[in-house]
Amino acid sequence: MEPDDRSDEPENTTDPHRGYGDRGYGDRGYDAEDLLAALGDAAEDRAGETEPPACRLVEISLTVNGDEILQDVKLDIPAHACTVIMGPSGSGKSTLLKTAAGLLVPDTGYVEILGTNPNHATDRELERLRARNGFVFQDDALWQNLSLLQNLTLPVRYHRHDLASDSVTERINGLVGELGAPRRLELRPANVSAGERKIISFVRAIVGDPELLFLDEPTTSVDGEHADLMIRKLRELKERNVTLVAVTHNARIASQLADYVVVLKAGRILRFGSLHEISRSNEPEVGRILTDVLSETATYDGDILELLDPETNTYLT
Amino acid sequence: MRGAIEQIGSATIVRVRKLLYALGFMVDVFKQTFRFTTSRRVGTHVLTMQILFTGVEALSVVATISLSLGAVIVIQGLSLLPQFGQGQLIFDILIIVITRELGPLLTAVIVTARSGTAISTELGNMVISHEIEAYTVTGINPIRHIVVPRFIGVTLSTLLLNLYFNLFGLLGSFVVTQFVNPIPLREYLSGLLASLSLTDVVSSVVKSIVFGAIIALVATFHGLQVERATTEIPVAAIRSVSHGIILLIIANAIITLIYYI
Repeated sequence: MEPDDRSDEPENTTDPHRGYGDRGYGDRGYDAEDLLAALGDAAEDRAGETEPPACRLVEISLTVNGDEILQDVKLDIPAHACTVIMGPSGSGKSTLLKTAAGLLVPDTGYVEILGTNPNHATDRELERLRARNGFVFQDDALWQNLSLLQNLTLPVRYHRHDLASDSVTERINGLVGELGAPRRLELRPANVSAGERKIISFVRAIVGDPELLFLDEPTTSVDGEHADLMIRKLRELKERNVTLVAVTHNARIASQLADYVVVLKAGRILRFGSLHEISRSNEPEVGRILTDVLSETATYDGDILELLDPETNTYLT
Repeated sequence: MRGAIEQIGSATIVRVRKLLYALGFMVDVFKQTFRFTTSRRVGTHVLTMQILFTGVEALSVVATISLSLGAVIVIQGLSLLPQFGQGQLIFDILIIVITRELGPLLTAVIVTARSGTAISTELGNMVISHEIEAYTVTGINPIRHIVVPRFIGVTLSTLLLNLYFNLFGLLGSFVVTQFVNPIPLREYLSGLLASLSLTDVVSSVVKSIVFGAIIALVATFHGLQVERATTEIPVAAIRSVSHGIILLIIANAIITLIYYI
């Protein structure tokens, strides 16, 4: 699916779902449509130029235990931009992300990652392709029988024989310090908190300088301060032309990073386009899903208020 | 009637597919084992740990069982065989039972019970916690990094444990002989060596290598068959033991048959 531009159609003022987001967060009475419009304005100038896609999904269908998780998915994920996949719980977001990363083999269709179909690649080609990717799992997926340091050094040692161990250690220490990860890297993953494991998982994904980074709820379990550090790092990676593909419910990630948004429902792509287009979409279902997803997070950490507050809203500038 | 035939047909197709998948897995493990031994050695730590767990930590269990078995064979043999004037056959029986048959088989059963279940459980947990996916996505081949060190480790350990089993089994029988019908060590050893042929040694070594490979392949295969629920893990461990032991007994019969052809 190419980015959609149907949002240029006139607003449907008689939309029965128009008042869906009017929940009156705080006393200010901000509604989610205002939020979406604000997000769209922020992203207006961020959409990437037309280039070969970083990742191409062609007519993908995937069934797991009789359930059709993905249905006829066609998607070109733009290179050097951030694409955020959003949708209600159980809509197939993580499955879509794993399929896009070549971790799940679809029943029909195929995937091309950085121009390579992983199912047709030789072992060596696949190894080289993987070395150019990073993936942050929703539940960290650290190797439990290794220390945190070994979790970080193993992929680098495996792929980069040319690097001296001192420079690897230096790079790891730099990233660990920058992201506020636990300093005691000799510990096993079971001995640190879920948030710390998530940060280490994030460091593992970026330590090899990936060209394409997949993120599945990267800030889940991470406190606000460390989440901000992660988002700052992601912005830095984006500025260095790293392609980001993220599944998130976090409004801050969507607002500060997204160039494109995929709206997923029941395994089908409901809409794909720039954040600006999607946030101004007059399709009630798209609006309802985004409102639900964004306000779900905002209910807990006040994102909507923060995003709409002119004093604290820095992303609009 | 037609429905029953269809059910049998579809069940057969599923079984054939599973068998082909298992064969494909086996071929991949052999291929990656070759690459593991000829290229970089990131998995050597896993290999060392596997040998330590399977080979070294099982030593006391193997020694106890083989000492007891050797003792029982001598007690039974020396109470029965002299009645027929065949007391010297005790050495042949010791070699047949300990070196050729029960040594490799019992060692393999011990390794299946200890290491086969442990490997299936560990790999099943790694699947559930997405650690295997993490290997895949970071470009580290999980077969080469996770399965191959266990395959080599279990195979080598089974071979070494079989040697220990023989050593302790034959030693145990000598110790018991001293209580029942004392003979000098030199005479005991010469009796054993006279009964031992090169084919006995080859048969024992071949069996323990084949058994080790079977245990490792079955355990890793079932461990990686776990998909998403933790309840699948004990099922994988049980299948690892039951399928493993069945295959061990079949392989033992085939190798013994070849020995006598």
